Amino acid sequence: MALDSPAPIREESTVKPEIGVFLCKCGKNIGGSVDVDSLARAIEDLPSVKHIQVNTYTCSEPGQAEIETAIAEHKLEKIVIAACSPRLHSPTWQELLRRSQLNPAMVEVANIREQCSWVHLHAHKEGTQKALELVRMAVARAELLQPVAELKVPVTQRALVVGGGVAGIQAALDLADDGYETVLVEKSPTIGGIMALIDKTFPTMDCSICILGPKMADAGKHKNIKLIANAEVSSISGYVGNFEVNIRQKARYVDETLCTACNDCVEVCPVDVVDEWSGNLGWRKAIYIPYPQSVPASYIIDEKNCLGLSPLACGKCIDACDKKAIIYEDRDRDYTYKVGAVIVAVGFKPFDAGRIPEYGYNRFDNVLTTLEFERLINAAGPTQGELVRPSDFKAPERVAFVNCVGSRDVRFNPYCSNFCCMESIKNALLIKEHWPDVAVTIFYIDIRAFGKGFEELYRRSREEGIRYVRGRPSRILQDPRSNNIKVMVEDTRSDTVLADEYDMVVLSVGADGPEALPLPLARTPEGFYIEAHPKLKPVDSPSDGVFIAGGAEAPKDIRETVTQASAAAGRAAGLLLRREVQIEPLFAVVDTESCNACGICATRCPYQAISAGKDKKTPARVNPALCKGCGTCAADCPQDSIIMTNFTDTMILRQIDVALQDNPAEKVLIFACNWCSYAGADLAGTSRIQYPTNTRIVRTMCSGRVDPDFVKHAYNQGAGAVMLTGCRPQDCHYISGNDFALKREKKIRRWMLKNGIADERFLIAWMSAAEGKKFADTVGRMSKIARQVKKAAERAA
Amino acid sequence: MNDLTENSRRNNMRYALFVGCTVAYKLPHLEAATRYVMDSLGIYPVDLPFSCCPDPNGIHSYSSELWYTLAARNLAIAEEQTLDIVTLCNGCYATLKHCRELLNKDSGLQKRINDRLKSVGRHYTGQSRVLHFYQLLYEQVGYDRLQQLVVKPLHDLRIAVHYGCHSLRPKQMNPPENSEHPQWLWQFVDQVLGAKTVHYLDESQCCGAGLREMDQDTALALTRRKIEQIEEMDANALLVPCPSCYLQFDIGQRLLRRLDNNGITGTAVFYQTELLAIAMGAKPESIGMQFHMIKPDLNLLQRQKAKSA
Amino acid sequence: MEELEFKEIKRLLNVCYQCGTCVSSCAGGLVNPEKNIRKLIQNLIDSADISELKNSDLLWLCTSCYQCEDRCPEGVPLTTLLIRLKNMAADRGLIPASVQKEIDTLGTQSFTFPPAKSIIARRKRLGLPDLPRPAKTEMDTLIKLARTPVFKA
Repeated sequence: MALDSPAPIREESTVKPEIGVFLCKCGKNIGGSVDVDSLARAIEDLPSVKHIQVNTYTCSEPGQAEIETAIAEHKLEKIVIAACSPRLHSPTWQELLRRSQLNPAMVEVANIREQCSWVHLHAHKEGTQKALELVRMAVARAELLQPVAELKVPVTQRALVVGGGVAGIQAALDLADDGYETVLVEKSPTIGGIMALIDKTFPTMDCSICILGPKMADAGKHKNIKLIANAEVSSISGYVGNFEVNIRQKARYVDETLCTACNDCVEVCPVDVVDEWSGNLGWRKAIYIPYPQSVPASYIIDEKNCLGLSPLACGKCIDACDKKAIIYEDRDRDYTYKVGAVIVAVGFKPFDAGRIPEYGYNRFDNVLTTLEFERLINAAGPTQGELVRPSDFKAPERVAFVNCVGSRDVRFNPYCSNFCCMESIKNALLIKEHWPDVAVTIFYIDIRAFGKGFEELYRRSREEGIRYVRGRPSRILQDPRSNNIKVMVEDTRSDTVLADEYDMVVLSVGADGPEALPLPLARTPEGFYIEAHPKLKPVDSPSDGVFIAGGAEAPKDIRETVTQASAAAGRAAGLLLRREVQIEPLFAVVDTESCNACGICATRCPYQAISAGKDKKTPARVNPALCKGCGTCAADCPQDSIIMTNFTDTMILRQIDVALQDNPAEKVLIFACNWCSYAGADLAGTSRIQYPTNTRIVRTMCSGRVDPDFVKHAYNQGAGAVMLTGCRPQDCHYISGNDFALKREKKIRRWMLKNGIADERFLIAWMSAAEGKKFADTVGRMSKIARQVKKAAERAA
Repeated sequence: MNDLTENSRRNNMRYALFVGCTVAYKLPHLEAATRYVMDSLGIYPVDLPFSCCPDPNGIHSYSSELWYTLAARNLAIAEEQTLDIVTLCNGCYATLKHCRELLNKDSGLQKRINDRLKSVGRHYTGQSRVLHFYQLLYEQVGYDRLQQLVVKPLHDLRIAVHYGCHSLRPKQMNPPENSEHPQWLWQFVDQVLGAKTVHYLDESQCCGAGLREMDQDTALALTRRKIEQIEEMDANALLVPCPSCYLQFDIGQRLLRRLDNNGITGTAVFYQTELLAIAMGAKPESIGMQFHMIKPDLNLLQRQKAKSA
Repeated sequence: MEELEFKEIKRLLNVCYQCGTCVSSCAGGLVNPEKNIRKLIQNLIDSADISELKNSDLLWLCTSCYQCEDRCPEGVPLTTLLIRLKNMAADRGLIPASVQKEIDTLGTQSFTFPPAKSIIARRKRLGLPDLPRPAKTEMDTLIKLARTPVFKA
């Protein structure tokens, strides 16, 4: 079901008397410092107000019942509640409206408690005046409120898992066991990922493929899992509950259903190819199976190296195959599925050690990576598990491991890759267990053995005599005659430069981020997928309905991967079982008539919710299911063509007008974002931290919503000072709203300079919801500045 | 690389030749070999009143401001003639290239330096590029063409190579080649000279020239490490692209020979253009080969073997 | 102003996690274990002010080969900082004799290898042209102007 953007909202110019204003005393919380009764009298002249009522406890049952009665009796269309913070009781008022058969968007709250009575406990006169203005601001806003359709969309009862490593396998099995049809897509000819290629796992030293193999088989056989291997997602579109995915499966040239893995074809194939599945240390044929435990258990023809895929070129394998499973005419296939939830489990990419030329990888045969080492000592590997070195197949007597290869390095990946320390320790122990006379050294900077059983394994490795040298090798050299490897390193424990020789050196490589998918998901600069919240939503992506798990999110070991995979599957199942999902009615709408297709809006959106036609002719379109309503696009739209549902430019400008109607010169106008700074202001209130009364707060969902025009308008209306506040950098609830807000500062200050407005009259301040004191202090400082401006203006007059 | 070709085409392969103190006033025979090569290749060197580059070790350590200023002056002089600069020495290359990068990136620095240059009537804009001589051979002329011009391939030479430090580092100065594993000198030995390459363990290590004055013991110890390995690998020539490294190996081996009577045999050191000149047909005396401290075995260089078709 | 500079330097050094890549890259350190640049860095991080410089002969044993700086995984601009420290030392008159000699030669001859008569003769024998010399007055002016200490980044 395609969601069309609702028709753009046209502002209404006539004011109808349809608003009911309910002023709450909240016992003594408000009534104690604000004269609520006088408020009721003072707003009698407002033309849009039809009914005014003062309550003592508005949110209580009788309080609410009074409102419902008033709505019915006076045929009110909209209500203004002057009481506590909208962050506290908004859902209550929305429910109330629904009960009264009114659209839940038809309520405006004036925050006269946390942001007035509680912070101006002793300034009764000014506090009451401020409360009056806050109520007037709310009324002005309420006049422009528009009803919003509450969108409910169905959830397709199918899930997609992209990536068939252990993360994808686990997630798919969980979902399939829950009863959901799951499509599992894997790029390689077999599922299993990196875990299938390593020899043993830490800290238990389990055989990796032995524990993964049964899961792979289950995934291949499960009645609810549709496994599409040797395939990639070519495109994905849609929104939560309603994704459409296109998958392209490359030709295998072997019929999976007929192949019995008998190996006859391999025996006659004349082409030898370096085997990427054995760490490039062995050979395979052009027709091959990646490893014995592959799922699907079918061979595949490597068409790049095959002599020609036709009987004229060769045809030996076709002749050899009893089952007639080999099909030269096989072609790529496309599949399309509709799914309700997507799990991205594409894993990380091992760091390419060739990017560090001073380590000699690619140049020196006897320098390997840990992954290659894993294949080398694996019983199914190129030497059947014999430890020999590549240059001469001799058994090495001295082996060294180098940690942090490509990680903790500003030239490559600045982060720590999580598993490399344990990987080295595990491999070192493996050598010691099977070949106790081999001298093993590990070069490290710090040993990170943080998981369960890790420190114990580290200790065991020291007991077994593995030598740990604290130093990061600067360079690795090869003796041209013996092919022995020399490692230049400083042993920082003894301040000695070592230039010792080894027979073989293994580089413990870290992780690079995954390659890009045709999925518009936010990623770090290195390519890892970003989670919706690093602490509280670690497996959700910022886009609803898409979840992430495993190495694709950040480098991690198998246990953490499986944990995340099950978590993601749980989240996805939760979505599917609800069968329908509500789209929050807060989104942007493009006025296609005034839109000039410049495409700026699309660049502001971290949710990829806006499609701007690349031809510069098609007006932009917002997908309301992806849009979160931050308003950053609207603020930067040069044509002002984007309308934020119930946070329109007109509403905000009217609020500013009302706020600055009286004595603007001594007022501080503060833009605050719903999630952080507004909440911080509320916290100041709850904590009863006092600050001056000449402060008026205008709430937006995000600091990114604040158009420079709003700031200019405030100064034009005579504001003494203006503040733009929001979440701390890196913490924006909408990911990048505050970044874009900050980028506008230069423009604003240039305008101020041109119009003779002193620089200190504008301040951008970032604060979290926990920083009530900081809010009060900052606002207090600006309040002083505003009062000075008023004094100066008076003196000039 | 295309820019270089453009520039030289515009200027008919004319370059401001930055000879440098070491070549001009200590090892002029290297200059002789270079001029011979340039002559044969149709490269026209223009001599301008350059001063010391200045030295990227001693002078830079003494005063960065002095270093930038004198380097900028040299660059400005080349600019006045609309010429790119070609250096014969790693150190000169590092100084001029690095200073150019810094001056071009930092407008405040450039202004400060230009304020000084103004008082002597000079101005730096950054137009003139800085090239090491090896780049002319590697990128401009190309090894294919050079191979064709070689009449006496040096088949009898087993050449160990030493790149030096300052042609490759620091990354900040944007050297054109991979500093950890550069290819141009090995390729030169193989493709152009037709000689055998000899690899040794510490081939990427510094020669010690920078410590020559401050701490001769350490400098010689570094030189010794390399020489011993080179002799062990049975090389009969050492090829360098820098006169400072040349000096360190040439005089250095003589000193080392004096220090221990039987340790070092002495491997002849050659500057890149010397061997190229010989391979192109120059007579050793005409390019001053008699001025080497470690005398080269002329028989190895003079074999009258015509090039195989 | 010097204090600010030193603070700046320390800030850049603070990220060092003492991995030792610089030390094993150092050409000087290879043959002479006393030249341990990592320890120099650690001393600087631990020192309170710039007077520690007085004891740092170690500084002048750097050849500016830049291997440490190019390879440092935390991006500490080691060689660049060392040069800055040497500049500061030079401004307080603390330079080794050999460097002083080089400066003097530059000041009087405009080159670090003075054009001796024997070399000029050898040049003639080799058929090399007389290279144009920089004007002494020009060099003097620039050297004097450049020696005004300016501590910028």
